[in-house]
Amino acid sequence: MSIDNTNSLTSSMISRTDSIMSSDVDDDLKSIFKDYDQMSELELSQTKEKCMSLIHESEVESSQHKWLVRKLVELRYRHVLLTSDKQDETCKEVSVSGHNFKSNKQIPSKRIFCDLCTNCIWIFQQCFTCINCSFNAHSKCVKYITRTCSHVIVCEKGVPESRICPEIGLALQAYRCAECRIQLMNKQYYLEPRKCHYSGLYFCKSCHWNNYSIIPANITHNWDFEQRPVSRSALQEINLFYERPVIKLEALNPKLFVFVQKLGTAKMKRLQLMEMKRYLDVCKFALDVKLVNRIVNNRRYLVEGSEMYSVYDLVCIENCSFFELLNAIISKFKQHIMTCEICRGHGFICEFCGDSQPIFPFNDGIYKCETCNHCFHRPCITGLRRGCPKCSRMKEKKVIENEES
Amino acid sequence: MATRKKVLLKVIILGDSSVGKTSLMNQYVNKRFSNQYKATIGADFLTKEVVVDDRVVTMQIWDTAGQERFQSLGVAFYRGADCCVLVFDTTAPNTFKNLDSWRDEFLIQASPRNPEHFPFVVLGNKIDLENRSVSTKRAQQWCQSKNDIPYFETSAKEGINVDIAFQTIAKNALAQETEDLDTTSGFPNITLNADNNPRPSNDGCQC
Repeated sequence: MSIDNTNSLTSSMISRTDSIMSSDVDDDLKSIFKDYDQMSELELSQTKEKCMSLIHESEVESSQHKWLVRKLVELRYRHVLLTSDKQDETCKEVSVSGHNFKSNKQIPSKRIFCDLCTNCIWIFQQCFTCINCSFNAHSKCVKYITRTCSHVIVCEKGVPESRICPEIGLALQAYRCAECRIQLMNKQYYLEPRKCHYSGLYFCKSCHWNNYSIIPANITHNWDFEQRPVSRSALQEINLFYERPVIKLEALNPKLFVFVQKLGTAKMKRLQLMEMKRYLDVCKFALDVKLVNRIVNNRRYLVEGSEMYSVYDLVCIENCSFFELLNAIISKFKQHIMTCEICRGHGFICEFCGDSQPIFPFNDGIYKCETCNHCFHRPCITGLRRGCPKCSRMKEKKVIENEES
Repeated sequence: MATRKKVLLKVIILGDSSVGKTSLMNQYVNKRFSNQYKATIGADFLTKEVVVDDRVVTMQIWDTAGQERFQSLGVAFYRGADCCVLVFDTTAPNTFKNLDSWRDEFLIQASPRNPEHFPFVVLGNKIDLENRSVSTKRAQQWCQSKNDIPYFETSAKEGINVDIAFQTIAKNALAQETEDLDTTSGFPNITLNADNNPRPSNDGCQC
């Protein structure tokens, strides 16, 4: 098999863009996994078990722990490869540095360039694409890949870089490319260093293709959607983060909600949605037909909390298409609640005016008591300057209980 | 008249959590009982057709959540109730004590036309258990003090007294419903015509 003689040197060259430095990991640990490519099935499963126990022993969140988890994933990929019937010629799956490559059989609509050697991958050449991070490579290049799969990094990091272009300067990078470690300049020659506006690091031109992308940190700090040049790995990382709801925007930058009116509106609508969700959660008719799932389908996080935003959401808020989506969900939810007997039964009757039309906390002109959640018409409670009657009743009950005990 | 109409009786079951509200309803409607405890989420209702005084009526029985965490939702379904069933656990004195607040809260939220005479029924459940701690006398006394509320001792598990209790509930609910209908059906009979209408038609402002 072509990858069997993978250069063992490559695994030790972990780049600066990676969060785990190879020096963080003990050498004797590395030796365990050194030649897993040559292992037999039995040896492989033994190593897998050993790796599992090591993971349990190591400290969570430490680099060693993360490194072991990566290794376990690689071992598992390898194991699947070995146990599958397809071997040698027919085998079209390869795993290297966390990537899971599959040979791309479809004829691409536009030219594909190899992420490693930067040359074009012609139609007659076999093209391997990582199913997780869409890294493209020639079949001959696959074994030399050093960049850890962006998907692995995204999973480990959890959230995109929150600092705007955290530049450390070329000197601290020792005038080397942050990824392939190539010398960018010395007395004899000069390679153009290219700055990545996402990671703030400098790259050589084969690791940085001057791709333009929006930068998550610029949005969360400055509400700035300008596209800036980023490195290849950063581009893959941003793309993978794009639809993940991982940004707790209000905790990161609460002032933004004051300055950007659209965000305030979005927050209000999401809170409204959460109120409606509480009704649908306890309605057997809605649960029977899985109403919530059907309406929000793949964007469940919209009804699981109101804080999380994905980069894509923020882009949609800026171009206002987010509101169309929310309004559509809200109107569908409302339609159910207003026609369902149980949901209507869960409405409130304003105690002050006694109007028999049920009111809901997500309606306009409704006052909701912060402590007991009871709802009243706003004019009814504010006009009469009264406190919440339900709260005062509960207080009385507590007093009586205390006296008795 | 009311007898021709299809009658829907709305019955609300209230009480602390785990006193057996759902079990009572299930025993009555489906004749089933399960020992497993599953907290009711929000409110739920079942319907059952019953014969009361030779009339077929549909009973809509609303089973509610006793747990406090589900009480943050509204109780608009109390409105238009024809009878309210208060359930307590005869082995847990606290659930009996809380009947007062359940009743008061119901009267406030449902605001029936005639709160003094609104039909309640009290059920002391779980009498099949050994460790009884609320005596029949004590429960009866409380019921008497609240305008003679009918009191039954039931067991949802064994099916003791469940049918007779619900029969009474249906009967009382029907009495309430017909009373309501009588008062409302009286309204269309009042005919207004120009002769006995003292208000002048084209007189402008009256102040």
